[in-house]
Amino acid sequence: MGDATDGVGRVDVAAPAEAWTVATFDLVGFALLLLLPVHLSGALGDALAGLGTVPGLLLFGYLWVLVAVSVRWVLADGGLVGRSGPSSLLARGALGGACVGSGFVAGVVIVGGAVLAIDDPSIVTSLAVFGSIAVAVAAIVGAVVGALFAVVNVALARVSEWVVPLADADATATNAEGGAGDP
Amino acid sequence: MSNALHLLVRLVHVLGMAAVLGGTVVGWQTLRAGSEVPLATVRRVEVVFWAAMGLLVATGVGNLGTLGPPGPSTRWGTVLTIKLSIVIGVVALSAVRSLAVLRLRAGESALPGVAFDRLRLLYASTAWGLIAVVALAEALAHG
Repeated sequence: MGDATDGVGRVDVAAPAEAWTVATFDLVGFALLLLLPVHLSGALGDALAGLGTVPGLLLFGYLWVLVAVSVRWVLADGGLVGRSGPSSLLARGALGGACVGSGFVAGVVIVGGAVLAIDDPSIVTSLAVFGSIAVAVAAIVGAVVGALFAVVNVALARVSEWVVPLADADATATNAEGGAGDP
Repeated sequence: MSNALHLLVRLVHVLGMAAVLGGTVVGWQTLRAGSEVPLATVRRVEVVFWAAMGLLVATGVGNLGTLGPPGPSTRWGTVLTIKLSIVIGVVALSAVRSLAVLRLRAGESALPGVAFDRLRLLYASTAWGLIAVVALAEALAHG
């Protein structure tokens, strides 16, 4: 993994760690925010009953990899707060989310379809049609989720800026205050 | 085979919680003991924290699938609702804490007092939140 620089030549070893933190936070947050309402609706037992342990863990791992790769791309060239404006992060978040959504469903359709097609090769055409529609829908849903999480991520990053203001920012603020008082 | 798999999933879940809680307490106590942030240590804690948190959620969902959770109106379901709510809060606070730690660069370990106290408070609050989650998990497992 390559390290980014912070614009003044210092190597920023935190960049890969930031991508890892944001990616896992997004994945975990998404899973928990999905889990809680399903549990409150009383449908959690039925929803999980149809999913075996091994397939469930494999799907989670696959989604984790997709989100990690996507977030690394989204945060490349500036990180969460270092880019020119939040709109570019929102656009990249939506695009990254669309890639995750479509990639996840495409993977499931291809692997699941291949298993089904071994028994019945005649379903390949209908699987391709169904799969294409599912991938398109997943891309739209993923884009919305990606944009929402981009907003959440930036909000959390802003709070973290308040928790630990950078020394550079402090010096700038101090200088600005001092400058304003000069005759 | 099935029982062995479920035991393995539970083992990873327990180890994941040990790593998450242990790492958070290490960060908290390290900041309590000194006046500077040991950057390499807390960064490593944060990276391991999120790896373990991902495993915790994956294996937690696996455990729920095995147990077949009852509805939210039961006592067990109510405890699960509270546990999930606290976990969401801990995850959000931990994201703020991790991003704050990762903003620090080499040579910036001596933070202003207020920032240092805020960071220590974040470690403490997430640690206590995780302790509450462990207590609720014990109630779910053993009634």
